[in-house]
Amino acid sequence: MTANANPQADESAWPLLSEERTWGAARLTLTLATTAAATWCYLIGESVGSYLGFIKGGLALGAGCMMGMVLVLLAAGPTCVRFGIDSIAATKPQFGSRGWIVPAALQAVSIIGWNSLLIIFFAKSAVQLSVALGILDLSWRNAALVPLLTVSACAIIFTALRRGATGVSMVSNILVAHVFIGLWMLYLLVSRRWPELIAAHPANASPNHLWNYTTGIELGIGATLSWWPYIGAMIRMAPNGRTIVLPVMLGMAAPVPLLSLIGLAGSLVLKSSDPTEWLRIVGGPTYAIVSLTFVTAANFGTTTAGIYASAIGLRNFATLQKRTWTTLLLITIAPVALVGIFIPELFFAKFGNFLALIGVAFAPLCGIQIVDYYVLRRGRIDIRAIYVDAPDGAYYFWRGINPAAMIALAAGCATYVAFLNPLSYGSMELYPYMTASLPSATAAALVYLLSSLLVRRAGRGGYD
Amino acid sequence: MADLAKSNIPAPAPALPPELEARIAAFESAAPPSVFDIASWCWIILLGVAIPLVLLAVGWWA
Repeated sequence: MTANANPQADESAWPLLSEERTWGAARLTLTLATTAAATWCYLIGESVGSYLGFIKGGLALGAGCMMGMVLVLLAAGPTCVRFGIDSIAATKPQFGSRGWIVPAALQAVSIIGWNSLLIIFFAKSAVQLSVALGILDLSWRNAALVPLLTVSACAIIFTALRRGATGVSMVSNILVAHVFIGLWMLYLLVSRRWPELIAAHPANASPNHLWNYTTGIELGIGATLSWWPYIGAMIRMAPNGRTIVLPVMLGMAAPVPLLSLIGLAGSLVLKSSDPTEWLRIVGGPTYAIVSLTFVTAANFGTTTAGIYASAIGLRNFATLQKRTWTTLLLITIAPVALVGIFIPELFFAKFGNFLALIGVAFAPLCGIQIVDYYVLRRGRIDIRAIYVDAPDGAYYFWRGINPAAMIALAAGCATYVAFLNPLSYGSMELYPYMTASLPSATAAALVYLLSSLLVRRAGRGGYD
Repeated sequence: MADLAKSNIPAPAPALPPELEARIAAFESAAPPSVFDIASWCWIILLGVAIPLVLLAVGWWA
C-alpha cells in the first residue's frame, strides 16, 4: 500500500508525509512569531515590572523565555517533527492510547480560555478607543459592542481557517507586520521616557533581590511553556528537525520578551501596560489607533493559530475523525463566541486565575516527554501504536492509561505549587535558587523514570 | 466469538482507515530519520542554555 499526498492532510491528526510538509524555515518563523506575539506580552511585561526594573526585568525575562522554549522544543519537537503529528498525538507514548485525553483537556481549556481572553481584550480595546476618540459615548449600548465584535472576530477566523494550515500561514504573512509595529512602540517609549524608565522602581518588589530576579525568570519560563499546546500543529508542517530549531528558538521565543518590554516599560513609567492607553498619552489619538491596530493584529494571529491547533487536537478523538473540517472548526470556535456573547466581563475578571493554574501542568508534561523520548525509549517511537487503541497496542498500558504518567504529572504539579503558588505568589525558601518550573519538570521526570521501570518490568508500554 | 471472549487472547486491533494505514506503512518502510543533527544541537545548546546563562549573569550584575 502506498500513501499519496493529500491536500487536506493538514486538517487531520494523521501523520503528514514528507511531501505534505511544505513549510520552510522562513514560513515557520513568520507563523510562530505571529502566534507568539499577542496581548499577553503586555500582561507578562506588567507582571515582571511589578518586581524588576527595565534592564534587569528584560534580561531575566529573555533568559527565562529561551529556557522555557528549549524545554518545549525538546519535549514535543522530536515526535511531532519526525512523524508530522500534533502535540496531543505525541503524548500517547507517555500517557497511553486513552490517557492522552488528559493533555488534550489541558490543551483545549488552555487554548480556548486564552483565545476567549484575547478576543475579549481586543473587543474591549476597540470600544475603549472609540469612546476615547469620541466615536462612541459612554452609554449602556456600548456593552453590546463587545459581544458583537467578538462574534465578528470569530467569523473572520473561521473563514481564514477553512483553508487549514494554509489559512494560518496566510494570516501570519499579513499580520507579522504587527511585530515591527510593536518594536516601534517600544522604541517610542524608550526614546522619550528613558531617564524615567531607568529611575523607575517596581511597585511590588520584594526586599529579597534574588526572589525578584527569579520571579522574572519564572514568568519567562512559564510564558513559553504555555506554547506547548500550539507548537506541534505548527512544526509538523516542517520537513525535518533541522528546519524547526531556529524558527522555534528565535521566531517563537524571542518576540515574547521583546514585546513584553512594551508592557514592562509602560507599567514602570506610566503605570499602565495597555499600549492603547499609554500611546494615547505619549503620542495622541493617532498613535492610539496604531496601537489598536497592533492589538487587533496580534490577537487575531494568535487566536487563528490557537483555534487551528485546538481543532487538530480534537481530531484525535475517534468520534471526530470523520467529521468535516468545517464542523470541527465550529466546535472549536463556538465556546469562544459563546463566552464573548454571554459572559465576557465575568470571564475576563475570573478566568485568568484558572488559566494560571492550568499553566502549572505544562512544565511536568515537558519533563515527562523528555525523559520518555531520550532516556526510556532512546528515540524509538512506534507510530502505529499511536493510532491503535487496542489491548495489543504498545501504548495501551492498562486500559489505555499509563499510571506512571498520571502520577508523575500530579507530582510535578504539586512540586510547582509547593515552590510557588501561581495565584498568591507565596513561595518556599528554595524557590529563589531554583524557580518553580524547573524543579516541577525535574520532579515529574524523576517520578516518571522510576515508575516507568515498574511499567517496563510488567511488560507494558512498548519499551522492549 | 464467545470462545474468544472467554480466553485470554486479546481482541484484534480494529482496522485503521486505509489512508491512515498507508501513511503509517510509509513511515514503517522508511529508515527512521534523525530529528536533530549536530548543527541543530549546537543551536539548541547555544540558544537554550548558553545565551540564557549569559543573559542571567549580565542581568544579575546590571
